[in-house]
Amino acid sequence: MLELKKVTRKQQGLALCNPDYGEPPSCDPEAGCDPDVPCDPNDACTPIDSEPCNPEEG
Amino acid sequence: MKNIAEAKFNLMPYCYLVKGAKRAAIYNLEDGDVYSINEESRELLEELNKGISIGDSFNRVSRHFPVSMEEIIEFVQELVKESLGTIHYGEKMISINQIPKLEPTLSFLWLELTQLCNLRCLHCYAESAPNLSNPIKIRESGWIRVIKEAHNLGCRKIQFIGGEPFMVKKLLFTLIQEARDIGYKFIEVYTNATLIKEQDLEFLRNNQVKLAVSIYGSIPLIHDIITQKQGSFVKTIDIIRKLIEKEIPFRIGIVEMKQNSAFIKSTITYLNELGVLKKNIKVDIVRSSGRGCNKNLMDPKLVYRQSKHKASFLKCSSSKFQKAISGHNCFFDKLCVSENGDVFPCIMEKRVVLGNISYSTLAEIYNSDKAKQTRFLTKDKIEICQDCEYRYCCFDCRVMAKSLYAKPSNCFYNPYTGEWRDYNKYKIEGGDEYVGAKKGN
Repeated sequence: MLELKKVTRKQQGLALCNPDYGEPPSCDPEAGCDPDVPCDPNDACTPIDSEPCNPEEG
Repeated sequence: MKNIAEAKFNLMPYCYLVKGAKRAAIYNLEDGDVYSINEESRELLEELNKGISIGDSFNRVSRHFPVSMEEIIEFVQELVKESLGTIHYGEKMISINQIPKLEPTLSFLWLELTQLCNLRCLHCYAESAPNLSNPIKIRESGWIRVIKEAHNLGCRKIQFIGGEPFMVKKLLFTLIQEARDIGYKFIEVYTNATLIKEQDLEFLRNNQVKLAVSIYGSIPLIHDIITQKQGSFVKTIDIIRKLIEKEIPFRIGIVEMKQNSAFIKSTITYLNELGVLKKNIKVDIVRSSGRGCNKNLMDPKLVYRQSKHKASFLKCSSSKFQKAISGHNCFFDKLCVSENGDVFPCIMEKRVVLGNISYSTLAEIYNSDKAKQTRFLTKDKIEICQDCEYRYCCFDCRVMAKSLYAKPSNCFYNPYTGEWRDYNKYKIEGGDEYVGAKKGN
């Protein structure tokens, strides 16, 4: 059985991210960011991409 | 009409096949999407990528696993539909674009000016508190030298953090002024905001300083339980109102733990109603550093929820991919100087001391072998992760791992089976242990 499954999602506005770090993704259009789409912090998926946010971009 | 069995298939030049121990992933660096494929699909793609026809590829792979020609055609068409590849009848192979590794440049510097803090947050990564014996170890001139040296290394972004940087306000303001005069483009102070006076705001605004403010709840009870300081909520909110009023840019950092987990939504709503834009509110997980290692901050459900437990990643742009193959996502271009002059690759990663600014210049430390080891720490060097097909799109927070080269404990993927551990299995396997607690801190 051949299988192809997309595993990426659009970045959401309230993605968990460490305020002490640098880097996007929350306002990085290149990373598929949509700051207008807040995610549900209770959604199980949110912490997965606990990538640093870019303090410069808020 | 041409026979599709004679056609050839190539991944697009911007698509990369990354192999894992069991499965593989196709990275489309044009739109950032990543696709997971199973073993059979990987084997088929590898045959097709050799430049042989779809029909010949079928003949080869069908010896190893049951698959029909129709299935293969359907799969190839799906790849084409997703813009991952193209079908052609020519002889010429389409070559994949080569992505060169990045040359590192220091882009971000943390300065932990003091370990002192007027609060005593339950999860504090720096184990800060009000009553620490904390003699000044680095003098003003030492900090200024570091700021200049970092600038010479190309750094243009700086964050003052602590402890609470406003505990040493005179030093903080001198260094802000210095950083502004030298030419830093981005200056931020990470603060609990309780010690900021109204007259300080003018200075911050004049020097285009941005603030990052910690908040843990929408009511004093929750916030003050975490800060362990009664009245801290009121003071912080008071300053937030003033920041909004005076249009000083700031962002909010909420760290989610057991004590405030049920109040995250209401805190965001509350801040929003105060006038804080949603995009400026970030919710973070507790990092396994300092008091963050206390397992009483977590419960099994929260640990599981804050883990990587399903295949869902942020898009992977070509720049993100390039950085991932070049070095560590944080250590690659950042350094932290702590209040005693020790230099670390990150504010939270204190297991590796790269040097001390009292004995070496920042450039010497930055160019040392030790610093290079952490800077170029790609997932290809991390145990288990090196065999994972998601290693270039998955963010790596080293402090979530028990050792510098271990797989992060909060990742529940097994690249050798291609399976994710589910919650029930997690509980059975003793999932009530918080990763930080396993560090034995």
